[in-house]
Amino acid sequence: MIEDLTLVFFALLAYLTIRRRGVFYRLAALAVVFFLIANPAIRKKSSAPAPVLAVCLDTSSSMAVKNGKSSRLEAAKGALRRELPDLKKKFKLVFYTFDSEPRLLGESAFFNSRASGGASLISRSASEITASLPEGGSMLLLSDGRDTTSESCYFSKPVHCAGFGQLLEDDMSLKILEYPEKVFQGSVSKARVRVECPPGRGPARIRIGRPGEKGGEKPVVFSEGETVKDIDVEFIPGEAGDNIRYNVELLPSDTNPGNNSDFFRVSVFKSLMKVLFISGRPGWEYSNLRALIKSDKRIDLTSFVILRNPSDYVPFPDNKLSLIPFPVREIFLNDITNYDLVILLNFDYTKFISPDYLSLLLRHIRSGGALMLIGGEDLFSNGNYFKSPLGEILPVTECPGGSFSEEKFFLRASPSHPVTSLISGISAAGDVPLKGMSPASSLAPDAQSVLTTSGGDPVAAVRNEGKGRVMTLLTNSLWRLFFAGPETSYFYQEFFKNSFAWLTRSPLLDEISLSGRKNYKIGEDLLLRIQLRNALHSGVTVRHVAPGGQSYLPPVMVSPGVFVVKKIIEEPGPHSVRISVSGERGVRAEKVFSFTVTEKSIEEENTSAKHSHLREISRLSLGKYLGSDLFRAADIPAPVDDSGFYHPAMKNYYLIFTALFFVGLWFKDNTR
Amino acid sequence: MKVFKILFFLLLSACCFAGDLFELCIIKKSGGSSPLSSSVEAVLKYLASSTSIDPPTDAVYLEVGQGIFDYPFLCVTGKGSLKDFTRKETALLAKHLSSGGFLFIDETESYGLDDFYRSVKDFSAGIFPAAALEKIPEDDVIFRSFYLQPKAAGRNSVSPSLYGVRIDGRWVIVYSRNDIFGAWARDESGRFIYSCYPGGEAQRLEAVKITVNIVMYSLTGTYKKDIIHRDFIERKLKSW
Repeated sequence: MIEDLTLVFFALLAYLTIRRRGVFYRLAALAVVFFLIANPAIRKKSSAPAPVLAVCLDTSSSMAVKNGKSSRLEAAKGALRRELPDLKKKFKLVFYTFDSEPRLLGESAFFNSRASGGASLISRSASEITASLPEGGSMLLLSDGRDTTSESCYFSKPVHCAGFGQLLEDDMSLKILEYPEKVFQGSVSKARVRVECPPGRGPARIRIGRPGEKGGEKPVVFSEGETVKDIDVEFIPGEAGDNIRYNVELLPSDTNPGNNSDFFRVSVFKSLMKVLFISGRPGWEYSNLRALIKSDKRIDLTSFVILRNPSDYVPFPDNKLSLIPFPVREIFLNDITNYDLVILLNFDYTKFISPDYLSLLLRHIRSGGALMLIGGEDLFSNGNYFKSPLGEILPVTECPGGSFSEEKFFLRASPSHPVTSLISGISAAGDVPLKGMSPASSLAPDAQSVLTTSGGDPVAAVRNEGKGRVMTLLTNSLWRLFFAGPETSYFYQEFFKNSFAWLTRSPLLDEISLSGRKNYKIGEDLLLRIQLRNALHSGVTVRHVAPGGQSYLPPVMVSPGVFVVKKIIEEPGPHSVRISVSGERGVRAEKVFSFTVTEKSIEEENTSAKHSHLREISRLSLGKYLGSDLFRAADIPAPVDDSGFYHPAMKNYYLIFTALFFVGLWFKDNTR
Repeated sequence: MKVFKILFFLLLSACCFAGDLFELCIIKKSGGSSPLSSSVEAVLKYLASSTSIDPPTDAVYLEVGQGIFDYPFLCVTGKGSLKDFTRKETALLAKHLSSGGFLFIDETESYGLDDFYRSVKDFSAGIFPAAALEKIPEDDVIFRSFYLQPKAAGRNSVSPSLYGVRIDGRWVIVYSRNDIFGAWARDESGRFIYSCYPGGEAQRLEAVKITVNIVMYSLTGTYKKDIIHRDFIERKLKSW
């Protein structure tokens, strides 16, 4: 400015010093000075093309909900038609529709689109579309705001949102996302729930419990701007059983209480296993096994050892002995059904109980009990158990005329059975010579061997019988493994612990534990959490079998041994997910998770509009929320105009011309 | 190496019994003493005739080595002082007892001094430095594992108590100062060799009972402490 004024001063000085004051020169000089002072500007237009605006219309089913006479979709189209001329002036428009995925359409196809999508992935679609827009582009999102998933997305361009549909903004909702299939009684278990809450709403509580029980509560606090929260809710199962129902409620209730509660069913296993252990005589197998069982706090042990046979003579009065009569009637008539597992070790029942009592035991096993028969010289001598009521459920067949063998043998553990899959690699266990084998011929038709001799003869065999399970261990010399070294001692302990777990169908032995949901609606996200018992050197393959075909799902590891798979469900009907865990020797375990997808779409579940979600998208993307049920093109911010002003009087060449002009005048006047 | 290991195990297993029978293994120690064979024979015979433990008729005599791992029940007898065990022997015994084994020490002669007691104390401290040799309480399950409340009797009556070392709630070493095996010893004609002092034949019967209880305890552990036995045993004790 100072420079300009200085120039003007000198120009006027030159003008006033002109001696020969011709009108033409004076006017020309004045014009030059005035032009300089006025400093006119010329707007210089930018050569850049118009910015791109992606107009995205939600075509999920919820947009078909009528709001008065017209649907949300029609209202959105109407508002867009009205503002289309102005938009076209400001932007280069591209048109998209989306439900479960975005689709680029022509203008006429866009306006002919229908609201029929089974899901509305608003955030995901907006994220994908903004990523595809050129620099300076932005997005106009027309939706009701009801997003099927609530995953966090990144928006690379501003998203300006206009909301359509009737609001229930005070509405909170709760949905169970996943829960474990099996839990233990008395142990802390978790279910994952999603809570949606309008912004600014006060704190809420989640209550979980059996129907009719008060249950435990957990507060839910949303931070500022947060509207969706996934929460782990803990519960402690009190009663054991299959399909135990748990209700989850969101408190306090709101204007739409229908979506404030959900439920799930789990199988609850007893935390305390009752074991009846009868030994035909004291021995080292009994001693070691008893010590092992007693060290396990999850086992309630009742044991009987025959300390004296009927033929033994004790030269002391009975009241000097600590022996108690073997309570056969109480055990087999009254209590047998209370035991989850019955272990008979080298027990010759013919000396003590009637075969009729074994019929009661048989009935108990078939209805869910478990039996472990451990060998010894008295177990199968004279084929006694084979001829008993238990004979038909034994996993091994009779060896006619066989007797207790004192031959040495070496163990081999099955790598494929859950009992031994993780310990079959302990080679030291196969180096310890064992002696003593009860007579048996071969495996029963539907039995599996768990331990064999190095020659392939069965040592331990198992089979399912009704709802129960049976194991026969033909030797009572496994205690030698306990003494042979730390590795073999570990083998001994794990073998028996795993056997107890397998026999009682305990979840402890599950190679694969799953948390998911059994019922989905079309458009929902399948969420399945996979936990492996042994993740070391394991690969996980997940295959989704839907009515229309199958596909592989990529498992994502979230922590060691824990994987998550997700997929949007698009087909109704029965679905299954087959999980395979492979180890060094091929497939080690498989599990199938079945679930049902109802014809009803998730879009039909709750049709109230949720503009708070759109506001959140606008906020996160640095866009603008344009309001509900209508919008104006003028409100959509255009990119900053980069056109400039051209000032010819201030350009160097004009100033030089001015200076030369006055110098010329001065020279003309002063050199004559 | 693996082949040698297998051969070693095979050699050991060639002499041990099949299954899980009780076998008495007496530790041989140069300069030490062993119980009279008639005592051992009498103990094993009594166990076979009066209990469901059907042991082989002969005991096994072994020096401390890998072979002891075939015999969970070990027995050491001595007088004067317990012979020193080498560091390797001590380590093997510690491994054996920690793995579920059991050691019975019988002091066969007392000279009025506590030398043997002190040597047992040092020996057990060498095996289990963190566990002390202590008196076994009179109400311990070892005193009701077969017979009810037998006295810790033997041929002598040096101490009214048994001593022991407890690891993880289990007596892994039981030590008697009263020469229990001496009370069982008979000559060729079947008569008792030693008289029991001061209690006479009643004391011998108590020695018989405590012998059975010690063996039974090694095989059944805390079995008689189970709830199902408790009331029954209390009723019997009240009937005395």
